[in-house]
Amino acid sequence: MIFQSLITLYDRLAVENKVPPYGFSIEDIGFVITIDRQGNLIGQPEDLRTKTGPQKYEFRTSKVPYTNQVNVRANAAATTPNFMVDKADYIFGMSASAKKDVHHKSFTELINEVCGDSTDEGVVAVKAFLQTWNPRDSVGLSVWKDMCGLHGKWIAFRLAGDSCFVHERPAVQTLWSGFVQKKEFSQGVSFLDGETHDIQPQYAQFKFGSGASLVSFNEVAYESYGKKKGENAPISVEAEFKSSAALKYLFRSKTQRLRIGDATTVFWAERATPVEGMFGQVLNPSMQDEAAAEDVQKFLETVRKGGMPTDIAADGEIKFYILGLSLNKARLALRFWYVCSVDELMVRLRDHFQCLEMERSDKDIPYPGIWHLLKETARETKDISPVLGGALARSILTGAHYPQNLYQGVLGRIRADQRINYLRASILKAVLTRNYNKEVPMSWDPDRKEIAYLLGGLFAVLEKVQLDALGKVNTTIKDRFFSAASATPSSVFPRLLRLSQHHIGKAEYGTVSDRRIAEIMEHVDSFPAHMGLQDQGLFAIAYYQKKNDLYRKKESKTEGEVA
Amino acid sequence: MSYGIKLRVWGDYALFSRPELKVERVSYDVMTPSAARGILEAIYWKPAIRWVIDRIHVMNPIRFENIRRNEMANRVSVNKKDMEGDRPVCRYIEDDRQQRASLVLRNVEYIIEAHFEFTSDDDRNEGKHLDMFKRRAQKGQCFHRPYFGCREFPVSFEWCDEVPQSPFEDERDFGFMLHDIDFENDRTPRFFRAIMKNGIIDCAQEVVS
Repeated sequence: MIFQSLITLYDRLAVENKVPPYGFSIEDIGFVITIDRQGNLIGQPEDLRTKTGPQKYEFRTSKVPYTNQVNVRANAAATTPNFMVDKADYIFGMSASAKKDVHHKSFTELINEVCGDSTDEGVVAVKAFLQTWNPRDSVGLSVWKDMCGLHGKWIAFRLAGDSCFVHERPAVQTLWSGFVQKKEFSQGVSFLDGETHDIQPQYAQFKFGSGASLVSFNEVAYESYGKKKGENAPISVEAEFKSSAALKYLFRSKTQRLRIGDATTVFWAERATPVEGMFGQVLNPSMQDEAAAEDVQKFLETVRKGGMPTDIAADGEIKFYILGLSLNKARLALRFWYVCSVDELMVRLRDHFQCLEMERSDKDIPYPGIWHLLKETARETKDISPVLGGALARSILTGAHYPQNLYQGVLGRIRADQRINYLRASILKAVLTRNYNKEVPMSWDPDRKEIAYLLGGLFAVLEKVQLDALGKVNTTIKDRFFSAASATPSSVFPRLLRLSQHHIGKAEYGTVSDRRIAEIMEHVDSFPAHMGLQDQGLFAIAYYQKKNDLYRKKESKTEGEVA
Repeated sequence: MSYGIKLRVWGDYALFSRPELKVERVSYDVMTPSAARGILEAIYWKPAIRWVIDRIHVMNPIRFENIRRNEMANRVSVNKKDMEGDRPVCRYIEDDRQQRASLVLRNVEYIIEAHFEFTSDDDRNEGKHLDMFKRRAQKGQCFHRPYFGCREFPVSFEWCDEVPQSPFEDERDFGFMLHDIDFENDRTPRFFRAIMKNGIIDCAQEVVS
């Protein structure tokens, strides 16, 4: 059903003029060269790119004549040119310092073939240019290096005096449309609608790092029953074009595309709905855009309360499609494909954020995105498991169990650096809640009698006692004993309790701490020798909550003195 | 016609590749009729009969999982030269490895309802074929191990008298699904509109090829 829904998306976007018609594609243009009517180059090529970062550019986009064969020019690259716009080697017959005669010739031939003896000024000028240009002169162009470089992208022609590119001239576009219409295809039954159509033998490629195809049969082992290429999965020319154009649109979109780990997730709805634009921000909130973040905040606030935001309430029945893709050997692999109604999606999001809900300070992000959660599982962003992102996204969307790696990853980080912050506590809580059906409170609950929970609280109290007694110290008991205390309490706690007596004696409000310890110890019969992973998570959560609890009390008591 | 049989099949994994996404394989949501035919043929088949799948009951919720496997990029193709012993007929994985991702089904169970038809005038003893199938299914015998789309995903099967209630209570449209291959007609694929009503897919729906 993926292709059908993409086709529906195309039809919807076509009405709004957001996707190109058949035979065209929106592509990046890096440079433009201006020529006069006699085909002479005027001035220097113009750089249309804007640099957004090191090795990163934003390009001018343009509706470019396009066929599938060109986009997948892997083998016979030199003889499959584009029409009117292409890379430097095709236009100038030169790449860096090597002559590319075949490229140039094929480019010229295609223009002759398509245009015939058209008298359009643009066509005449381009033809003249191609005939008179001396490839050797290319090296002298001011931006030549950039033009053939990695980020050169395509080069377009512009006729002096025109504001548009030559390939955008109506006459040229008509010529091209006529040309692609004439192309002949074999007939067959399309697997999308079961009717006989022209069958497209080659599925489009997408810019995904390098070119990557979603549907391809590039090794003999992938072919079945003696079928070659597109025959293996007969798809009509029209359906192929529409679905690939829609997918290209999504890949270009800033709001409907997410990159998490190595997977790119795109999503769209059956009909236009505000959720489409919101969803990306929900799963991956960006810090830069504060206005948008506020909208999302309000939106999620409503969702969390179980309601539906007013502008979405009517769209509950609309189908929502989520497609996760990742690159595998120059082919696109489907990571997940998920269809649900907007209503269901809201429920999933609500459940997810309810699982995560944890008391926090004002600085903490109330609705962490997937990326925020993933960052807590590894020391550096590059160490984050690429698989985990997809798995986490899927569990959020389908309401399935969270990936176990997430929990273990966070526990591992806590053990390594002894930091228990809001996000880590939330993740642990979320996994315990969803995967193990454990009820975990949002903040410190003095009535909980589970041993792991009590010990986590006790540990926070003991640390407080030490800080009260010694003031600022470089290494607290948390830094020394946290992982041991959570994994093997019996070996650590007796020692810590003994130590605490010294601290209590020294501290100003020692008796308060003494009472706090007693309150907890009342319910502890013995210290377990060993605690499992579930209990360790609970321990960390309790520590986080008790610590918050202690600090809050302190603040209210000594108001005015602190700061 | 009373040649009908019912067979309960289940397994941990299944992968019924969609033709359009069969390189980085993605499974259909449910079993295809041709996969079901393959299972029946693995248990009992004779040249005199042809299995026809009537209905597929989907008994477990549809769950997907990602896996990656190392496979080969080439096939072993045997031509005359190979047969004459000019070169060894083999492939080495070290030279030819391809890692392929698959989106597979997890924990599946189906009940296949099918009947057979005769292909010729020979051996037209329906009782015999029916009993042989039943006996073999009950004993767990098979010519080769039946599998769910890929050899790696074996099928457990048992004879089934009564079809239990499926957990699905809605109507779902899975779009056009591969029905079978038309071997007499240049191995053309045939498709049908797979619609699941209350967990039952009627495979006799209009087929296009």
